[in-house]
Amino acid sequence: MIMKKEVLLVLIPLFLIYSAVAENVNLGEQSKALNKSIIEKNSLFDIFITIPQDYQAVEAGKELLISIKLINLGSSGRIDVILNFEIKDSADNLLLTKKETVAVETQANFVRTFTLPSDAKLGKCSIRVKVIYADGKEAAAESSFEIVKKSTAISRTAYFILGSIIVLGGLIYLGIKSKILIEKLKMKGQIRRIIRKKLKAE
Amino acid sequence: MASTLIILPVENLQNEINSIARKYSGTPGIYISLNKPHSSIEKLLEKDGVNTKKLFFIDCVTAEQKRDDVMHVHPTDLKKLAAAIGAFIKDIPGKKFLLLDALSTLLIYNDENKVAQFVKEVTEYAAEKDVEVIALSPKTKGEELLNKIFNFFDEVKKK
Repeated sequence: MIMKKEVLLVLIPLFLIYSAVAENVNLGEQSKALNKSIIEKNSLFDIFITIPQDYQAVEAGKELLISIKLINLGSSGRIDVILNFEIKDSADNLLLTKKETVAVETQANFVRTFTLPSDAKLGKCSIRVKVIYADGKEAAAESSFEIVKKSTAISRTAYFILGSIIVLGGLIYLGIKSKILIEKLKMKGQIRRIIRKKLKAE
Repeated sequence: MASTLIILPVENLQNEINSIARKYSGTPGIYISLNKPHSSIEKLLEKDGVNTKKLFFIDCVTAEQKRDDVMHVHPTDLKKLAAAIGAFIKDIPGKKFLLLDALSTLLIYNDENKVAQFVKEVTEYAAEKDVEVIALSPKTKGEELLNKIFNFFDEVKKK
């Protein structure tokens, strides 16, 4: 009997850890994110971060948006956790850090934006989000994005506006030209009638 | 065919017009009336025994179209006036002449340079089509313009 109790005491935590890992795999597949989840120190919290397609390439000085999913795998009830954000360039230089506390019950989804330094070098960068909860336990997730050259090309909207102006200008020009042409033709017709009438009367 | 600019005192203008019309009697002519309505010109010419049947009037004085055998053009619309002259020159068959009465009146409605440009266009086109041009201008008006347009005419007569 004592043996059975001991076995149960060992099996229950193992089962909990197993279910946490299993759920982690499922959620990871669903999000199809490029991030990887790192479970540290037998954490009961899991964290996933996703960088939307539009923010995979960001210009220096512009905003980076990430979506964060926090899952409380262990305890029930509301728990305050600390989130540590770190953005580093490819040479491992720290570009930006941020810390905040969030309350999580079973799951939390939210987005955060970060304004990248305007002097950041071009190239691959990584964002690492670490969740720190009770007794200094940690879980972290990491994803990458790219800092790209400022676009000098005309945006789609600008192309559309420019195109519209050209088309509109062309239509106005054609309208004016055709009006002039019609008036000219009318006048020529009138002159021909005058000449015909006068010469006929002769 | 030649182009002639006749500069004369305003009181002699009508007599000169009558004598030109008489000289070209029988030849179709394009009459640009800038001083008097075409009806007045016609009456004055007919009174002097000139046959006006072969005269095609472009009336720049009367705004209202009363007769369908007269072309009305506002004197500010020099492009239309030049186009109308061109169309008459093109469509009247055979020999013809062009009488401008009176050139300097255009200065009331237009900038001097525009008038000079208009005169250049008309005289060049008339020369190309072998049409005789007679332009009249009273002595007192538009000295500056006259200086600018002298060169466009083959002959300048001061009476």
